[in-house]
Amino acid sequence: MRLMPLDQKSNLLDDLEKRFQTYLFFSQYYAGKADPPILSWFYHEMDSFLGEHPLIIQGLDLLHEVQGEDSTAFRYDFNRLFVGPGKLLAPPYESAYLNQDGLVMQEETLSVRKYYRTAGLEISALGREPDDHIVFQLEFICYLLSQEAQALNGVEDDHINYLELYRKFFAEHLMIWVPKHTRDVQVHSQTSACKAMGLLLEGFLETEKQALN
Amino acid sequence: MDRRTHVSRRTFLKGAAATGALAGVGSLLDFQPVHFRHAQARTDISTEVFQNACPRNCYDTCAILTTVEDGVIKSVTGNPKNTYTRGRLCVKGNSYPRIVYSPDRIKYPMRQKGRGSGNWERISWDEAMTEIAQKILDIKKEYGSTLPICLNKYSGNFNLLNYGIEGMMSSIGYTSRAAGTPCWPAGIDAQTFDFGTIWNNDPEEMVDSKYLILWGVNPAWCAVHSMQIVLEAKKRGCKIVAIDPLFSQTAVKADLYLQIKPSTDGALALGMCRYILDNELYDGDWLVRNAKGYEEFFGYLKNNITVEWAAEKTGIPAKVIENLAHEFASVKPAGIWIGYGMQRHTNGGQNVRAIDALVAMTGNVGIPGGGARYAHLETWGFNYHAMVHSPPAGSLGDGDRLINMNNFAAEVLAADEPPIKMLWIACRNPMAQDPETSVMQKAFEAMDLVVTVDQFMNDTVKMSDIVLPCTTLFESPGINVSYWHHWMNLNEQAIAPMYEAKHDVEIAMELSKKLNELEPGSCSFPTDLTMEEWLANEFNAGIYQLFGINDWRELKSKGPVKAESLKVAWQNGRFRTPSGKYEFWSEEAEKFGHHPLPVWVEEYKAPEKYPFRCISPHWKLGIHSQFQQTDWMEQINDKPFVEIHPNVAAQYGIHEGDNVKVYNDLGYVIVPARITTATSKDCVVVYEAWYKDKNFNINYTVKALPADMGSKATGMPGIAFHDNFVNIEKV
Ligand code: SF4
Repeated sequence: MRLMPLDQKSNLLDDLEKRFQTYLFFSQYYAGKADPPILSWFYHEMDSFLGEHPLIIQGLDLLHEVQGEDSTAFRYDFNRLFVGPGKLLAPPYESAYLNQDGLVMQEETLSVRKYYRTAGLEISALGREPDDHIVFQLEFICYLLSQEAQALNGVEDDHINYLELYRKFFAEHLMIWVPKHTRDVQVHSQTSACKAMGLLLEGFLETEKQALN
Repeated sequence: MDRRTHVSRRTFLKGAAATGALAGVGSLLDFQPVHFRHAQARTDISTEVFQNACPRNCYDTCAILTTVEDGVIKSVTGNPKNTYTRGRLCVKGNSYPRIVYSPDRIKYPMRQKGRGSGNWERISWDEAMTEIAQKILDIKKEYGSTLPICLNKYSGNFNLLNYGIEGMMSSIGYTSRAAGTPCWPAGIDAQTFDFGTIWNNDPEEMVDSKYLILWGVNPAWCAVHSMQIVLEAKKRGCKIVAIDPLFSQTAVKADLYLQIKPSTDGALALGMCRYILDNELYDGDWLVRNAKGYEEFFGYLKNNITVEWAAEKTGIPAKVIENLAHEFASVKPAGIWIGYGMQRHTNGGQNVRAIDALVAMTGNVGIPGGGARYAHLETWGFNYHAMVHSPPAGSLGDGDRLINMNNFAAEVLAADEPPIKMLWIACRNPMAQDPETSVMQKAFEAMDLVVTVDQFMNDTVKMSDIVLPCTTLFESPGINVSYWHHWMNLNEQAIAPMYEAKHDVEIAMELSKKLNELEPGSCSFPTDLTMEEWLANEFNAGIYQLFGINDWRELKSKGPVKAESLKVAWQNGRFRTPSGKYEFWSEEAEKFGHHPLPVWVEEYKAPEKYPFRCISPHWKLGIHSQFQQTDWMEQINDKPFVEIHPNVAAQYGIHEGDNVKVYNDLGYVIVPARITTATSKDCVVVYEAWYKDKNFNINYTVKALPADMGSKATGMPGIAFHDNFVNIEKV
C-alpha cells in the first residue's frame, strides 16, 4: 500500500497515522530505543506501511536477516555511526552535512530551531544538544502530524497550518540532508540492522517526497 | 512471495503495544514530544559578550572575548584590555568555535568492551561513576590502600580549577601520581640554582631592549604575541639575534641567525663569557653588589674555556662569537630569551646556567629590557583549594607514591607492593605524547581499569575502558594566569556545556558523591559547592594585592588585570638563593649532584649506528594533541613530514616527498621527506604532533632519557627529547 497524497480527505486521518507511526519509529530508533528484536517486529508488522520503493524492498530484505543478529554488535555499530566517542561515521546532525565547515550550532541548526519556535516549541536540551539532531527533527514531525490530526478532530485549533509546516520542513530540511546521511550509513554500517534502517529511512523519505509533491 | 499484505491501523497498534518498545510514547491524537518543551517567549534574542581565557600550555595565555547569541558562540577574538593579547588570537585560538561545535566531540560517558576494540556503549554518568567508584573500593579492599590507583594529569588545561583532579585523587586516599613535567624542568632547576626561582621580566617591556638574543625559542610559531613585541623592539632599533640549530620562522625575522650545533649552547655562552672577561666588558659593580662566586667562575673560564674551543664545539666561527659577545656586552639593556627546546638535553640545565651567567656578568639582570628570560610562577599564588584535600580518615600509607611522568610507562609496569591497577588520565594524551610508545601500550594493557577524561578521540582514549566527556573553556568558569606574561584572565561560562560534558571538578564531585553513597566516609572531596564557589575559594589576600583588586568579581567588569609590581625581575637585588645573591657558585647545585659552577658538560653524542639527531620541536598549528583535529588545521596540513638537509638527502638518494623511515632501536616512523636547508647536515626534524586517524608518533623513537636537571624544583628531571638519535632510509 502506498502512502496516499495528503489532500485526499477521506483517508487523511489514516494517512497521518501511518506517517506518524513511521516517523515515531525512526525517531525511537535514532534515540537508541530499538534493537534487533524490535527491528524484527518492525519487519513483521510494519512493512506494508512503507510502500514499494526499491530501497524499501532492499531494506526489508536486509531486515529479514536481522532476526538472528547480535544485539551488542548492533549497538557498537550504532554508536560508531551516530554516537561516538570517535569521529562519527554518519553524524545524525543536519549541520554536519550542510554547514560549509561541517560544524553544528551554525546557521543550519538555528534555522531548524526557528522552525520549532514557529510551532511554539523548543528542544528541552536547548543549547546543549544541536537542535537539528535527527531524533528531534523526526519527533518534531510527529508533533506536527499529531497537531494536524487533533485539529481535524476538532480538538484544538490554533490557526497554525501544521500540514503546510510539515511540507515545508520536510522539503527544506529533512529531505535535503537525510539522504546524504543514510548514504553514509550504507557505506559505514557493519550490521544488517543499521544498514537496513538506513535504506528504509531513505526509501520512506523518497516515497514521501513524491507523495507530498 | 508478497509479504506486503494490508495491515490495518488497529493491527499495527496492537503490534506496537505487544512489543512494548514504543509503549508510552503516545499516539497520533495524544502525543507529547519527549524532547521538546514550549518555547519560552522571546521578543529579542540578545547578544552577550563573555570573558574567556585560553588555558592551553602556551606562553601567551590569551584573554578572549566571546560573543554569544541565543546560547551559541558566534565569534571569539582577543581581549584588547589585556595589552599582551592586544585584541588578537593565534590561528589556534581563532579555531576554538570549531572545537566546541565539532560533531566529533566526545559527548557522553562511554564504556569500551575490550580496550582498543572500538566497541563502545553509551552509559549514564551514574553508571560510569558507580563502576569507577566500585573499582576504587574493591582495590582498596584488596590491597589495603588506594596506591594501586594512578593519576596521570598535566598541562592540557591550566585553568586553576582543573587542579581539582589532583584534589579528587587526594580525597580518596594516598594514590600513585605521575610526577614531574616533561617540558621545562632542567631550565627551572638551572634558574633556581642561579636566582632562587624562575622569574622573567614582563615580556611587554622587551620593546625597550637594545639587544635581544632569542636562544632556542621560536615565538613566531609558539608565542605569536611576543613575536609582535620582538618585531616592535626591532623597529625601535634593537638588534635581534636568533640562535637555533634550525632556521626557524623566528630566525627568518632576526638580524642575525646563528646555526648552532645542538646541545652546545653552553659552550657558546661560556666562550662569550671568556671574551667578555678578557676584554673587561663585564659589569664589575653589579657583580660586587649582587653575585656570589663570580671569581670562581672567572677562574673556571680562564682555565677551561677559549673562544676557539667554543667555535669548534658550536660550529660558529670564533670571529662571530667575539662580535656577538662584544655587541651583547656593549649595549644595555641586553636580554636573552631562553627557550624550552634548548634545555631538552642531557646537559640542558647546565647550558641554561651558562646563559644565565652571561646575562648576569654583563649586569643585565634586574633591569628593564634585560634579563635571562625563561619563565615565572610569580602570579600563581592561589589557594589551590580545589587541589589540596586530606585523605579520608583512616587512610593507610604515608603519602602519595610518585611515578616519574617522564618514564611513566616503565615505572607503572615496575610498580610493586602494591602494583598499579587503575589509571585516571586527564588533560593528557600519554599514548601519543610520551616516549617509548610501545612500553606505554603494555602499561595500559596491564590495568584493570583505565578512565580517560577528554574532548576528542585520541590514542589514549582508544586504550581506555571508560571515557568521560569534559567541558571546553567556554562551558565552565575558571581563572587563568601565565608562566610568561603577568596578567590574570577571568574565564566566564559563556554557554551551557554541550551534550553531557562536565568540568573536572564536577566529575570529582560526582565521584565523591558516589563513593560516599557506596561506602560512607570514603571520599573527602566536597560535593556541595557551585562552580562559582570553587572559583571564589581560589583567591586570597596575596593575589588580590598583587593584582590590585579587592574581590575577584571585579574582574567581571574590569576585565583582565596585570601584576605591575612584577615587571622587572630581581630589580631589588634580593635573590631567593640561600645566600640571597645571584649564585655563580651554587651549593644547592652541588647538593643535587652538579658542579657548583655553570661549567661545560659534554653533549650527548650520536652513536655510530644512528648518526642523525632527530629534533622534534613544537608545531605551529597545534599543541601536541590539541587543535590538530580541527578542520582548519587539517586543511592546511594533515601530514607529518621529516625535514632533511639537501646534502644528506643526496647521499641517501632521497627526493622531496619520498617516504623515509626514521628509525632507531626503539621504533620507527615512516614519513615523507621535505628537503630544506632549514636543518643542518647532522639533524633531521620531525615536528611533535598528533594527527587524527594517522598512525604517526615520533615518540616511538624517543627514549625516556632524563635531562640533567629538574629534580629540585619539579621533583623529577626533564626529558632529553632532543637527544634522540636515528638513522634514515628511503622506503
Ligand atoms: S594557543 Fe596561545 S597564542 Fe593561541 S590563543 Fe591560546 S594562548 Fe593565545
